[in-house]
Amino acid sequence: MVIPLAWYLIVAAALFCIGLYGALARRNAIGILMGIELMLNAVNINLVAFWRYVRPQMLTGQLFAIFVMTVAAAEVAVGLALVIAIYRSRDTVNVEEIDLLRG
Amino acid sequence: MTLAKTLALLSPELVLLAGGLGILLLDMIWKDDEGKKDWLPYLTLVGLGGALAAVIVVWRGLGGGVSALATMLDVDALAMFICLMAVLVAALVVVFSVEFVRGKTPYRGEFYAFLLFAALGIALMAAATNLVLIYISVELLSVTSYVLTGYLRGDAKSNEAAIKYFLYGAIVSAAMLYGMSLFYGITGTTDLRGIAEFFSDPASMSELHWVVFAAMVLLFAGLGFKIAAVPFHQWAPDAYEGAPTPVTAFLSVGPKAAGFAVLLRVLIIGLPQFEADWTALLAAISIVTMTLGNVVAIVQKNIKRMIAYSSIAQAGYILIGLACLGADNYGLQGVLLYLLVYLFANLGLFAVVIAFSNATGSDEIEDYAGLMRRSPWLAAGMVVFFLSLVGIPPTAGFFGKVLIFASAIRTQSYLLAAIGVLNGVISLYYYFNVVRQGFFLPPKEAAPIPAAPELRVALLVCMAVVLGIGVFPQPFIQLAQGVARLLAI
Amino acid sequence: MFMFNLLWLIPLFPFTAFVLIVLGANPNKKLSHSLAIGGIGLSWILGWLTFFTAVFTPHFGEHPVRLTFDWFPTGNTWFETGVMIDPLTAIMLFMVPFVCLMIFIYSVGYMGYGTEHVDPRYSRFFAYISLFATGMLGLILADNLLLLFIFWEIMGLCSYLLIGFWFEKKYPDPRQITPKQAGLKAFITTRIGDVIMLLGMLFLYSRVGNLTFEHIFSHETLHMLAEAQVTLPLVGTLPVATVIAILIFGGAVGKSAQFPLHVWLPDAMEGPTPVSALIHAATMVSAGVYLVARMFPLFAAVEHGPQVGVVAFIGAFTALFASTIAVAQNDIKKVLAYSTISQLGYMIAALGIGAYVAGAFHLITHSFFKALLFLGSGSVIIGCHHEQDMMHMGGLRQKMPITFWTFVAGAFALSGFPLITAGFWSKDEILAHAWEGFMHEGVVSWPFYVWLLLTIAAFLTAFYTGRQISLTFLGQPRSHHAEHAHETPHSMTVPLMLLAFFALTLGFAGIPEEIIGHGRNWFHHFVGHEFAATPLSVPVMLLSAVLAVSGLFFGWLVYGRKPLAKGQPDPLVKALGPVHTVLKNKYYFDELYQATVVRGAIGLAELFFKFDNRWVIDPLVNAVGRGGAALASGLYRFFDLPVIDGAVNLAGKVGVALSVALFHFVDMPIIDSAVNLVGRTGAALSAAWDWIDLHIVDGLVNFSGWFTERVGRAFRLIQTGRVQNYALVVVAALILLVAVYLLR
Repeated sequence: MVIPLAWYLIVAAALFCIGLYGALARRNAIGILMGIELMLNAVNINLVAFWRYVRPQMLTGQLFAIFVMTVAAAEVAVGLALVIAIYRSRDTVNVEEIDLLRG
Repeated sequence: MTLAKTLALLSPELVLLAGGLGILLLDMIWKDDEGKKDWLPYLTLVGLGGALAAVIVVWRGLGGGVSALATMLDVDALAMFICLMAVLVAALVVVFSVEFVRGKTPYRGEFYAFLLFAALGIALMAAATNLVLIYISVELLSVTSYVLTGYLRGDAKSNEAAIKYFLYGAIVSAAMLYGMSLFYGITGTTDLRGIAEFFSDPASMSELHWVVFAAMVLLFAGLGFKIAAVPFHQWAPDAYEGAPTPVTAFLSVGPKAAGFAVLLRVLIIGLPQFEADWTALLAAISIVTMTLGNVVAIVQKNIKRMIAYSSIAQAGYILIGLACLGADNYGLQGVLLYLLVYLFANLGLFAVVIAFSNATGSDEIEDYAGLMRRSPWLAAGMVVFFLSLVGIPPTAGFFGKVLIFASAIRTQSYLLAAIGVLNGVISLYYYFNVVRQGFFLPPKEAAPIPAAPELRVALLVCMAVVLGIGVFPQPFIQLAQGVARLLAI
Repeated sequence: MFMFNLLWLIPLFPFTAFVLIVLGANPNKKLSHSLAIGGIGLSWILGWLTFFTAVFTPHFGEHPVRLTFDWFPTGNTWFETGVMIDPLTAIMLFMVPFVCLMIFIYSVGYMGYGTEHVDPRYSRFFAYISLFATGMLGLILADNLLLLFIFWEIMGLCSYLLIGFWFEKKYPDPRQITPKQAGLKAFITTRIGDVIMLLGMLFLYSRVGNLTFEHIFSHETLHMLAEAQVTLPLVGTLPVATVIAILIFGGAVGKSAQFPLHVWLPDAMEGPTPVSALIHAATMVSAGVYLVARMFPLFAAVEHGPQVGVVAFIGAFTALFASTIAVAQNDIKKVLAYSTISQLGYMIAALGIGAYVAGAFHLITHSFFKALLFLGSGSVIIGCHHEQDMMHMGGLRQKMPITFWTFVAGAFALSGFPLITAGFWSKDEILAHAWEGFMHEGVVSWPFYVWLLLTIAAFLTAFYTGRQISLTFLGQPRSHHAEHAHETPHSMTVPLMLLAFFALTLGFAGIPEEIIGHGRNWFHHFVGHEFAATPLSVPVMLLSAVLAVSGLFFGWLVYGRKPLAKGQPDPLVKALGPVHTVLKNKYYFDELYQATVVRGAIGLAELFFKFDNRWVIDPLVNAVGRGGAALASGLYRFFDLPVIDGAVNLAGKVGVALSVALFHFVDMPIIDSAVNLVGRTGAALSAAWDWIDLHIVDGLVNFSGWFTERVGRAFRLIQTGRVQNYALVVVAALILLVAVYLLR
């Protein structure tokens, strides 16, 4: 049985939404980072599925997915560094308490 | 294309990369030698000078043509134009930083290296014609910007600005990436020309149209974030206020120019078949962006925050040119000239703000009272830059606005033009509130405001350019025209 | 021609000096004046080199040189701008930088360099005059009207700044105009002319689509403008060229202080004397004449059109009018100011009747001798410790010999002393041209009118000049200051001597050909080769020579032969009686303008001011209401008492019964109620206005301010400072955008 493309897309969309929910609802900055990771991985599922079903002869989708992973790693590294910096200066990683700048 | 030719075409980017790595290396070698580290900004400027030379050589070598490299990037006049702006921005920001970062952070070397990498990101964004490279270069610029924003690690505001900027940017870029994956799914390619080719077949259009629109909106979220267009603007005021002021100066100009370059390429090269859709989208976003930016700027008390909102409004004006391209891409020359003009006016303004904050440690508008008596040069510069931002002759901004509004009138978008002019009037209100403080109110302290020689030079250069373009706009308009003409074919 | 490629540098030198002084040199006085003099000096060298290159270029007049570049886009074309040199520009290049240089050097002494009286804003003064020189040089080199206008306005700005240079000066007499007020007056008065000129420019641009002189003066364009007609309300149908010429002439009237916009120039003498010499005698005010000369083809496009009359009338009238005022002035600079107005009138009148060469010639010679006279008067003022009243001078001949002799040279040139002064030749050429026109066209013609008025003015000119020399330099000192007068430093006397040389000799460039042989009238040959030379008229020349000499003689006779004693009144007061009072008060023009234009403008300004402050509607509405009420009660009284009563009495004579009935019937219920109705309506209306004002107009004004701020505040609220809220806004916006797209 060949699984239709739509199934992958639905899984990816669901994962993206879960990630987005996490990014919007978690108070812990690390939690938000994890939500973002989920969103990026949803994109990766999309890319790989599209590669397999739309144009398997060109490796664009796979390649894109690998780039996304790499960039995501770099992003998370910077993100964690920033979280650590803010934790050191404020003793909290709760983003709702980080609202000095506003208006 | 031979390897040598490819490397020659990429030389501006390569010089920026080598410069950044070189600065990092020197920073490590001179680990504990603060005296030698004082040379780093000047070495950075040397690197930028090299990049500038490379830009000019490549630009002249192009001779009006386009050199596409492996469907990844186009080395053309637009790329060179934006690359030139990236180099200018980075150079001015380096000049601003010399005095500012001294004593505020022990990690001076990396600061300049990151600036060069950010400039590299802008240069790549300007040339990218493939979604993959667009994503990577956007992320390169974003990640370096996050780091620069949070550079003053001990400073609570800088910290907070960075984490907010980061989280916002990461979420928005994930959304953009999702949009990109949809484009890939629909067309089977990530190359902008390939995408256009796919859509040029009318059969492909009907059923997928709504997905395309959704993907386009998602993609626009990521680029709108870069240019700080409403409703993707909310990071800007917080990041601008919290970031070290030279970085704010960079953020207000560099990413904006790069974002517009990518937007231009994606829309004009990749999605010409959907012009009606994106024109409507951009027009709507332009109206809310101008209006919100200007209206909220009125109630600001911190000058960096005020400039943040003003720069949001400026993005709105530039979007008019994009929304009113016209059949012959007339709007494009307005966009390009406006970006150039905005660069000098806004960075000049930041030179004033930085000089003021170096001397007084304050960014509050009310502390600018009596600036005229404390430093007539800063006050005069401020007036010139405000005039340019509002668009009053004989400053450069006038011609930027003229071309932008002319493009709106040519495409009969009178509503856009009218709202644009109205917004210009609103912006007078808050700019001249600062001028009123500076010229008509008595100073709180009498002490004159000293400015570092580097800052003075930067201020004068910006003033000279703003007034120079205001008086002799012709070469600059022709430059923008040339770039716009090349992109149109 | 290599020289001509450097034209654009000429105005740049003083501008560089201006920028450098403003930027950094200002704390150092010596550096400042060195920069200013250096800048104008370079302009002078380059200007004269250019001038002589032009002179020695064969057939230069037929081939003016233009250097242009595209300036800014106008739709699909570019607005070109650039510099141009033709003979008129060339002779201006001979005059302007040289006179400027002399005055710059002179200013070093006048502003008290190296003494304890040095002006506190010394450097600023040099910055301003350098900017001014930029304006003047740019103006003469401009190759299009717009650029000319820009430099024209720069000069206007400098003039304003320099007249008000001693802005803190106050006088005990509140009626005496202060420098600050004088600057403002000059600025506003000339601005009236400028607005008219701008209208002319716009009209021209709308018709031609181009403002470069080359294009405007092309044969086809002039022909088109002369043929096209335009109908104006109240005026009738006129050729377009005439209308544009008259409108542009408005600018010249303002700048060259011609009647009726002459009032600013005498007050402009509140500025430092070098400024009076530079701006208000030699260069800027002659820019108006230059403009008319520059636009001469346009003025001449329609032969015998109304523009001839307008220009000739205003010029000739101003020449006579101002010279009569000059006779009764006691302030040494005011005499010269009115004399300047009068002489500018000569030039304007000359251009009006088509004497292009003569007008340009007088423009050049006048600049030299009038600059000389002003600088001489400045030297006198400094020598007499800032005494300006000639009644308090006298006997300065021995005390200030250089000033005296150079002043006499200038004064003789001004009066047109025969043969050996420049003024004689140039003035005579104007009169000869007018005479010739009169011979052709008869008595009922503009040339006759011009000739008559200018001839009378020539006598008066010589007379007041003689008076001035006698009062200032002859006799015995009439005040403490004059007794202790001293000669001024070399920086002031050397420019005087150099200028005096030209004031005497420059006329030889334009001696009529009948005297020196064919083809020898160099000036005519160079500037006006396309015009026929004015034939020499012996009676006119003899008459003007006699008038000049006799005018000077009368002046000496009245004031010099028996010098006035201390405190003795002017003999003219007794001789002329009330006429003198009128002249002394300048025909009460200031008062007239004060009462009409100024009061009106101030009223208007106050109106706007109040409007601005959201106060206008209130008083306005009250005024309307009160007016309504007053009108109502007025109507009531008027009709009720005299008229109705009268009517009723009349009616009573017709029939008593009827009259009584009528009275009761008409007056009481109907008229009364009608009048009451009017009154009540008025009152109600005013109340309504009050209400509208309070609740709507005020409200609207407040509302718009309140609204923008409130909206700003509201939008601020969404900027909560929490990054997740921001992200939520993004998500909501994305969903909204897609939804709008799908649902449309």
